[in-house]
Amino acid sequence: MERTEVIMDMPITVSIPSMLGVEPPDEVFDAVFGYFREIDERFSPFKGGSEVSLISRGEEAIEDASPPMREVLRLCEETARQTGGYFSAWYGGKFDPSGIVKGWAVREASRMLDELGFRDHCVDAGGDIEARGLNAEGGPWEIGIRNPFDPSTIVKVLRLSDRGIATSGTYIRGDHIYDPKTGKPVTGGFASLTVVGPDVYEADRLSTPAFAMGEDGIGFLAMTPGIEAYAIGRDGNALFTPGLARYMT
Amino acid sequence: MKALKKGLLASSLVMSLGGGLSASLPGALFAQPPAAPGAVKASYSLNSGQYVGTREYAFYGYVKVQATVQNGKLTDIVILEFPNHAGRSQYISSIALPYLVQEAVSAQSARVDLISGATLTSQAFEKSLDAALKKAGALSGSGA
Repeated sequence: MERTEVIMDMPITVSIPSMLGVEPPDEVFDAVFGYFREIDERFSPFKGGSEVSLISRGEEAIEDASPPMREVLRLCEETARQTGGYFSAWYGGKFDPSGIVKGWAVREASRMLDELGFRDHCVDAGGDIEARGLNAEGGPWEIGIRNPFDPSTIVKVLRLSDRGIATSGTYIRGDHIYDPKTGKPVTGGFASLTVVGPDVYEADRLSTPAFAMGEDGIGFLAMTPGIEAYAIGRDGNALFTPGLARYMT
Repeated sequence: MKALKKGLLASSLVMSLGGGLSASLPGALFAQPPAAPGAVKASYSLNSGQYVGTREYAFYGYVKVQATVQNGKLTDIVILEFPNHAGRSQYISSIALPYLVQEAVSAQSARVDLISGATLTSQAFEKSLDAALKKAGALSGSGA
């Protein structure tokens, strides 16, 4: 059984296979989507009353932050350290932890499903996915990597169980690929970069900084323990870490 | 398995897209302008000029585009605003690229449970461009 809602301006899909013909109750899905709405209210930098906005404007001291905010602040510091300062939640004096919050929230939602007894499930927020346990056929979840040159198709199928996957990409139009940092057409770098990690938080928080590193990104990921990656070049050739082969069909 | 040195990777990346894969975003708005001017249908009438699209919300930030129309055709799109979470400093890798495997990607339509891809801001991009093209008279009820 599957339900999709649009929250934080992205489609979020929760998929839970039926067990012995019994469908998971609606209340389970209600709880997960309710959680994502709470996350949006607290962490959106675009809502003036969100806790992120309060901190950004200096109206709430970090020492007074809520427990989930303190957790996110801790993860921001950790990721800034691990990416050599490449990730930062502060830009021009403004606080914006969105690069951490998405993957973290998807992982929390997945843990919520675990605690409710639904061991097998997928949570997909805008293409960043936590795949837990098994799918309806009793096998690993089959996750396609979207074709950056033709988004109606995929280029690869990965079979994932108890893993997270996240993809960063470019804007492609005609022969132009745009750099997400500058908005200008680029001649180097990858068309898309997919990261598989022990969970979606690890995959998501590394995919964006690694993508922005251009050609260095796949090297950075290959040297990161527990992380595998599939990078698609602008020439239609892919480079991937050898460890990814274990997820290929 | 094939080992690639960094220089090889860099040279493979500067190759152009001429290799056969056509690149376009979803939706008719992103199709290449028709090659033959005569193929433009009367209903596809755009007024020349530059049109700034709406500022579209994506969770990671805002997206805004500017479309340029010349002789009834969409000739350029400039991205005026992007979400930016990449950080400030450039990551410099001084370590040789580890062993990687290379393969040519090929489109497939296999059935899967879910798809991982960077679609979020593309959709905001598309909405903003759509608004810019409405101003240019591309859609019914407006323009010439």
